[in-house]
Amino acid sequence: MNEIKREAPILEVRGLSHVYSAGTPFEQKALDDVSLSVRRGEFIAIIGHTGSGKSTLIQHLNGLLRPTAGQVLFHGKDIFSKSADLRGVRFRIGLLFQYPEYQLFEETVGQDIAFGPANMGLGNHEITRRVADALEAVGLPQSIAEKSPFELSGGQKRRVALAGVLAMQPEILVLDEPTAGLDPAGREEMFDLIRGLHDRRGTTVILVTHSMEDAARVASRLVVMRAGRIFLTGAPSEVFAQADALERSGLTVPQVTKILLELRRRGIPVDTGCYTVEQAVQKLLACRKEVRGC
Amino acid sequence: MLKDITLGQYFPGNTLMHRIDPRTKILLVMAIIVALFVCSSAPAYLVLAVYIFGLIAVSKLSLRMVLRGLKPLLVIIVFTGVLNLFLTPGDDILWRAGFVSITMAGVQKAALIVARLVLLIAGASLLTYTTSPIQLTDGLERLLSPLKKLHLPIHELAMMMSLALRFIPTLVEETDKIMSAQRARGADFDSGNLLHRAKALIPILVPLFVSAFRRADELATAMECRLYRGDTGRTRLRQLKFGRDDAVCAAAAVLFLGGAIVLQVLV
Repeated sequence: MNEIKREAPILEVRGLSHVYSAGTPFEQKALDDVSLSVRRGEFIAIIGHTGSGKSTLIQHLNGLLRPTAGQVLFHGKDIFSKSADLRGVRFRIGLLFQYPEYQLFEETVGQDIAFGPANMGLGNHEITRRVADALEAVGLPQSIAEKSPFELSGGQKRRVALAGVLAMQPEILVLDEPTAGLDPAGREEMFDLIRGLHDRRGTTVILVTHSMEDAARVASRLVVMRAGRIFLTGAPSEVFAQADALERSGLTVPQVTKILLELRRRGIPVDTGCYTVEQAVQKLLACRKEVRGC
Repeated sequence: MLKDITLGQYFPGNTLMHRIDPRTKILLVMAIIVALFVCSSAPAYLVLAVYIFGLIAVSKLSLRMVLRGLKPLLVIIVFTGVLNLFLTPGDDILWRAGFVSITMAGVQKAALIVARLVLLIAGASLLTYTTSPIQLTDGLERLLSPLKKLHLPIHELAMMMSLALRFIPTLVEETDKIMSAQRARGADFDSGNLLHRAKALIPILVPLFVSAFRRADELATAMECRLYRGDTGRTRLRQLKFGRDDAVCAAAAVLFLGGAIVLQVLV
């Protein structure tokens, strides 16, 4: 009983559907009966092609979009019910959009990060503390707070935008393609940062990406979307074990997985349910042992 | 949401109204506007209404969509209607309370103004609903090209217009995105007094301007890279040609608009 209670989902999506521009020739069904539950402390990656509905889905999680049908439950309460405080929910489920550096508007970095906490109605003292804390969390020096956001480099701007969301100290962090347009080093840093937030602060993270490789590297659970529906879900190894289905639906699997798949196709009985080079080496060695053993 | 504004949007299709030359459509809409201002009697308006709604039916536009295009202008329509209703002086008083009164002339004038505005918007939206922005500016450029002889920069103006039209949906989308992003940080655009609401726009306007300037800069570079240098020696992918469809439309326009004006003058 205790076990079940601890495992109760922090966020739950039930039968969610969304239709854009209903009643015009541009009508488009973006989400079709999507259900998903997120447990506290999970690190979920939502993967899918452009137009698979992933961005639409995450905008429902904090009530920016209203569903055509279905519910979003946060701590068991429907966030769209009349008694619910939608703005309050937005402070607790932090959403960072794609290319968030384009939302910066304040004169100084510090003021911009303070926008969220100020909207929460926090006192000056607490706001100052949170700004400093958020800057530290994203690995930027405190001195940057006095600068104009428009003087910073692209990567720094993105960190400032992330700090703006972190300053609200959300229980769940939802990130839409946080590494889009960054160079490999910048991507690596951003992933380290997000992983650090998840591991050290226990923040529940929902990451949207179209890269299988990135998703497999950081997430504990993958949700693959296609044409507005959840197509596959499970631990990375479970999902990639179905690499054929993924490939057929036009999603790319990690390159190592691809190599293993091709080996299998040529008659080598290797286990294809892995996605990093290290794992692949292990599987190949195990496979060699097995083949020699026979 | 901003996306739901349908006024001035293009809805692709392949009907008679979609196929005819944009120049014909521009002239047609101008003729409709002139006819609406020339006419003021009920029978003439009936003919015009039948004609305009007939054209809407021919273009296979849903009536609901056209009416939704009226929504942003509803305030103006109601406001002018009410003002005319109460403030038109006349002898034939129908109803009086204190210093306001409704006269027969007021009722007629209010009905005329409302009908005129609704038909004007319906007629004008017919043009934008069935013509892509590119066709529209092509048509305008060709129609205005005689003015080039007076050294007016017609091509440049048309180019600016098509760029502006091209970027409206982009900017709307961008605004939507920025609003969502600031909402996610708890911004509140819908409550508070006027000053509060005006202040709440700053987090939208600053990023919007920054990105609009960035976009303009990038576009200018891209045009330079493709050696754009204005009108001289420029050829066109789409050649405009008048055809049989245009003749049919012109004949119908003469029949209905002419008919309405004749009715106005005779009756």
